[in-house]
Amino acid sequence: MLPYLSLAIWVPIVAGLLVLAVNRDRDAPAARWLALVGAVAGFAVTIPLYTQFTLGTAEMQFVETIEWIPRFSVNYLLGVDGISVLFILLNSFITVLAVWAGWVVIQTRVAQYMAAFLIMSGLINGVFASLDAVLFYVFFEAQLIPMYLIIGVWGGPNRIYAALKFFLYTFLGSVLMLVALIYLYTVSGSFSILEWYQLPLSLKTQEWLFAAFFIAFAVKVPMWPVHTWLPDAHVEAPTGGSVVLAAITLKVGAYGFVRFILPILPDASHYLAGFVITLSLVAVVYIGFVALVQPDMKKLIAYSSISHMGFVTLGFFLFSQLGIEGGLVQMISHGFVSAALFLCVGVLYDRMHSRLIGDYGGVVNTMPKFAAFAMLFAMANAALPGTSGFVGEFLVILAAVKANFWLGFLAATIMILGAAYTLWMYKRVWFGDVANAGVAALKDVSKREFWLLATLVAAILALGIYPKPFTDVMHASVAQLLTQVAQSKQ
Amino acid sequence: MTVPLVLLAIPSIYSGWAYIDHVLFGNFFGQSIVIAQQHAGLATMTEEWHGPWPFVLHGMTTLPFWLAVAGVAAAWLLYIKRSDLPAKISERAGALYQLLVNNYYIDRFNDWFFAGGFRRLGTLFSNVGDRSIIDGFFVNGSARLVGATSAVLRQIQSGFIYQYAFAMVLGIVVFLFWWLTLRVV
Repeated sequence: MLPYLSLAIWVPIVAGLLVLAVNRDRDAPAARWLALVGAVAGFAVTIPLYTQFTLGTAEMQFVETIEWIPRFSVNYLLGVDGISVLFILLNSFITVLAVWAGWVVIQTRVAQYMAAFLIMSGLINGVFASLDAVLFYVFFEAQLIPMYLIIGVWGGPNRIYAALKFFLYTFLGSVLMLVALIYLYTVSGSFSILEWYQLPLSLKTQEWLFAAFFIAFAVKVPMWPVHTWLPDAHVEAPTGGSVVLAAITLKVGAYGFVRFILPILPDASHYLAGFVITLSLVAVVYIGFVALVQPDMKKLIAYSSISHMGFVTLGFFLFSQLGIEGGLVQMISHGFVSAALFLCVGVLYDRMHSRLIGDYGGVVNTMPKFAAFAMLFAMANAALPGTSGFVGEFLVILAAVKANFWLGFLAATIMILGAAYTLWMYKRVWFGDVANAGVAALKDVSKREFWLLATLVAAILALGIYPKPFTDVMHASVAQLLTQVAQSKQ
Repeated sequence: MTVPLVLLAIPSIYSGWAYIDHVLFGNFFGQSIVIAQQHAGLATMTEEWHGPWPFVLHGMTTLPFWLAVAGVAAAWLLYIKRSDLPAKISERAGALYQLLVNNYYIDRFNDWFFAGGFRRLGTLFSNVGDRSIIDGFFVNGSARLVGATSAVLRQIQSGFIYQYAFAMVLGIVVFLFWWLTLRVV
């Protein structure tokens, strides 16, 4: 069998290096095509991870082991289960879209832009595939660098502030995680994450480790109140950057919860569940209100992302099959929907060079096809049944109601607030009479934009109407995770 | 519009007439709808039921029917016979007319209380919570604190060796003082 996980990591990275090496900026078209071929190849090598995935087992699959630093028993140890495999596919899929989205807009340093996305894609796949903590940490930190450059080089006017804030925020969190990883190594003598699942730890120790991991992953998700880097990063990032940021990098944080915190620290997870649930609900409600009043479309969608990710962490800490699967489905769905919404803002921004809702109005009159796409994505963001947004939210709300009615009640406000801010934005931007000469001169989506958005429509409807192929992959791994969380390690 | 309305009216009358026996008092729904023992409303109605025609005749002797007829008559009077009347009535009725025409102000209240309230709450969270407290105080505040502290501390790093030497001498004096006076005790 081919080492598919290594391919998923290294094909995009090598392709990115090739784009950098082969092309200078004067040959931008070649850089674009090479990047697209690299991204498609990167996605193609992940498809066997799904088609050859064995259902019904929680064992790690496609495992690869190479000795790396034997003195500290650090290994190049890769493997995926039902929880991580889908994110590798999602990431590789979104990378193709991100490269394609920057096709025309990016005119300066094209090769470097494309290479940054490809390299980042490989590194993120590394995060999801690593079963060795050092390897995980290396990928986790390394993927910050391309994103830092994407925001800092191709971003908006305030890009340096946003890029630094993004970097410092996440770095501060992850340094604490490194301390936790080193501690776990000293008590277990191993960096294997799976071995840590069996490691007995006292509640006090678990609480300290929980704090260290939690800060790292909460910043990344991001959870309230460590979320303020995200709106700034989104507003300044180029469209492709926002797409990957929302669709993938936020998931890295949430993935950390299910890979590290829940199985390694089950007692602390139960002990501190109320705290995490409270923060998640604050994210859902408070951030929902904040999203409502944003005058900037990108900021609105960024806040909407935080609110939706609050739902994911809520689902995880309900400790039920419905809750965790709902959280995971919500992660994938949000990957599609937020990517689509940011692409929509990109389509408008490329034409009008404004993201302010007040500068638009009546776009449907001049861009009818685009308005239809945007309507579907808005509905998906508001979790309309039939779209992917509904599946995850429904499962989590169901789990929340089972745990406690009022928890479910508060969680369900995400649907009302989500509908309020999304549809209100839609009304002000797309509906009504043509607001100004700029809107009157708009041209409908190009062929490239059409197919870009149509791909996401297909994904959103597929997951919304028939989520079984996605949830089947998760079942066994989530069930095992639940038994791990239920067992005390004291 | 007349033709579609007529076409809709015919099956409404027909289906009501023809199926009421079967649907309401027959066993049309089988086991799909179960009526609890204590809710005997339908059973009482079954006893009083003598077919559609007596049902219609009985209906004509009740107040709701005549109120509905009065409504039709009033509409005919106000909008066909004397179409000048509505304007005069609305002028006379004043506050009552305003209350009704504004839907008892329920929409206005919803706009002000819910929609407006949510927007005000969102603005408060956004400006005070996010911008002032989290970003202003904690995030940018900690950056400013580091900057301010460094600005003070770097004054000490003058680069003049004689100042550093003087600081060392001062240090020696402090240590000697501590060693000779305090430590002896």
